[in-house]
Amino acid sequence: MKTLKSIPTGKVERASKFISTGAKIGANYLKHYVKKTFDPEMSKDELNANNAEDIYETLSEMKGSVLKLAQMLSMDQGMLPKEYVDKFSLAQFQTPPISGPLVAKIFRNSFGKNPEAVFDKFNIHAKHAASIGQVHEAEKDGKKLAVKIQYPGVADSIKSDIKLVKPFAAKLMNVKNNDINRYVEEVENKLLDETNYSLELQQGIEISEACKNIKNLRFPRYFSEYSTHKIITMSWEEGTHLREFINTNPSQELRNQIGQALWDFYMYQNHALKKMHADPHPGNFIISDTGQVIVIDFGCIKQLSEKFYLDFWKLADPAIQHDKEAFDITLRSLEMILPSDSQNKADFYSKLYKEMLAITTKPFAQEEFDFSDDKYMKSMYEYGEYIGSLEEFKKDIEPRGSNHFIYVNRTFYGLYSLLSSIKCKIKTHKGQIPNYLS
Amino acid sequence: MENSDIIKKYIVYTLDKGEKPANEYIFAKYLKISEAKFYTFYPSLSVLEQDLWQNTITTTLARLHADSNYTNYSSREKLLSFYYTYIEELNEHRSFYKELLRADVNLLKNIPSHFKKTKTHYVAFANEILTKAKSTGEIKTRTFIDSKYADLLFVQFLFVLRYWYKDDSIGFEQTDAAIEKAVNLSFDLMNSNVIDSVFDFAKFMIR
Repeated sequence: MKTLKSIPTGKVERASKFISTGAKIGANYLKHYVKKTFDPEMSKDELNANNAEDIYETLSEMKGSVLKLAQMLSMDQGMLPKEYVDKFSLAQFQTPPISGPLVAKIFRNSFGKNPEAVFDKFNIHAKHAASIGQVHEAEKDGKKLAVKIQYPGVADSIKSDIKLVKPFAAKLMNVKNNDINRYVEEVENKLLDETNYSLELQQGIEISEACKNIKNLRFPRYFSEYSTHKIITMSWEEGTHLREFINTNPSQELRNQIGQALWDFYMYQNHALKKMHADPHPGNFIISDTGQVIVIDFGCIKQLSEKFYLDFWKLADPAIQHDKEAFDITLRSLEMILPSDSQNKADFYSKLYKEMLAITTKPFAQEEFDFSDDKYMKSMYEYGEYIGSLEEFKKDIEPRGSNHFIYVNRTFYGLYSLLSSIKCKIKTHKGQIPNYLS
Repeated sequence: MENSDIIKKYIVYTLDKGEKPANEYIFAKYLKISEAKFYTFYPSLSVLEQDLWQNTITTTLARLHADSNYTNYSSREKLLSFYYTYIEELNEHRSFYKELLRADVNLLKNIPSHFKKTKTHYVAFANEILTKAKSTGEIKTRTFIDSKYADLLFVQFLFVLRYWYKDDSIGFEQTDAAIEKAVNLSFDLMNSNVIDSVFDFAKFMIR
């Protein structure tokens, strides 16, 4: 792993980072057009790769929440060109570590002694990096442990980052700056939640207990006595990261088994717990030798309100999708059609959402679904492109949809992307809890 | 009574009264000794403060050498753990040290006279780790320039102190981040080719 060069913390420094990235991207475009003058064959792929590289460099230096935002972007595989996705996914488990002395300092702050005194063995060099922390190997009473340590100052910098990103976000989504507040707040709260390791510990223990009967799914054991709001200690789990696992070209049977465990995990959380692990990126899952999925991060949990839960699953119901009156009522309830919309506009969106949901809820409409088919993810991406090209949509500057959608969409989109990269065929139980669990 | 007792009393006085003793007479009275007797320990309160600051460095170094990991650290890590330990020391009586520093907020512009001994000790420590770093190739040997490294690092020390003085984050974790950043920057600069290219270019242009 590369060693950390700097953690810019002040707002001004972060701002100047953004500006330098902006300048670099500008330069990349310039280079691109100069090259293109001489070589008309040159594709935009190279340009995108250059841009992604520079953005990634900047982000990985900035650490913390911006990196998290990059991860969120990388979740929506369909929305971004492939090069961006590749680079940003890298962000998911490769960031420079903090120094050994700082790790020791954080331990002294939390436990009053050095890590070597808390555990029997402690490796001062980080094994993995997470976006707001890093993972160390330790041993206590003959058991191998994973100790996750949070970077200092993360919570503070999130707030200033969000303020910085906000105007960009409004521009990016082409909406009015003021209307975006409740969405930004949703993201900010979730990000701040993630900096609270005590909360993560509690969520991890709770969800792993509730989901312990799901087939081929496993969780690490948590050790509250060695955990604080800056440190989480859990059992060390052997296995391969999901992405590396896919690269080993596993059998179709194994692919299906893993995909099925993930699917059941999400459906069960949705219906039985009404809260879910909202961070389904490959870095959060490890595959054991026996083909079990191990879930290793519970920082981001989305709680569904009763109302949102009911409305959301109504949208997924084909019967309601075909009953325009009931469908429109649900859309209004979820703020996807706004009270200020004219009848024309309401009809336009009703039709648009119906078409979109027919695609996105397709796996729920049948008993079995084959995610190995690229066509499905492609059709989702193409429909996104089509919506983006509509004049009515481009001109509309009212942000739509309940703020709960941000993390719920991200979760489902992330899940679909995972399943599609695993190339698996699964039993969907029409989106309900499988029989053996109910 | 020994010099160390007098320093302890000086800390207690300042913490309790919320300000430093205004002169030697007041402090001697507090110690219940004559002013003349006080001068047998220290010629002035300012010299006492010099010793006090020097103690913070020596205690820190003693703590570091007592840690079994310390010897195996690279020079960069040694400097990092020096700062972290130093700040931990100061945090024991943050309000006292803040009171002492109140008059010297412009630490970086004019180095206060009571930091003289601190500087000597710090520079000796810095030279020790820098010599080691040169022998292991952790930093580059640069004739003329590298003899100034320790003095430059003392400026970094003052920067850390000033940052800590102004830090109002919980647990002063922003100071931790500042230390990490400052030390990494200095070691990267002492090792990078960028600096050499800059000097090379400058020499070429001046010729």
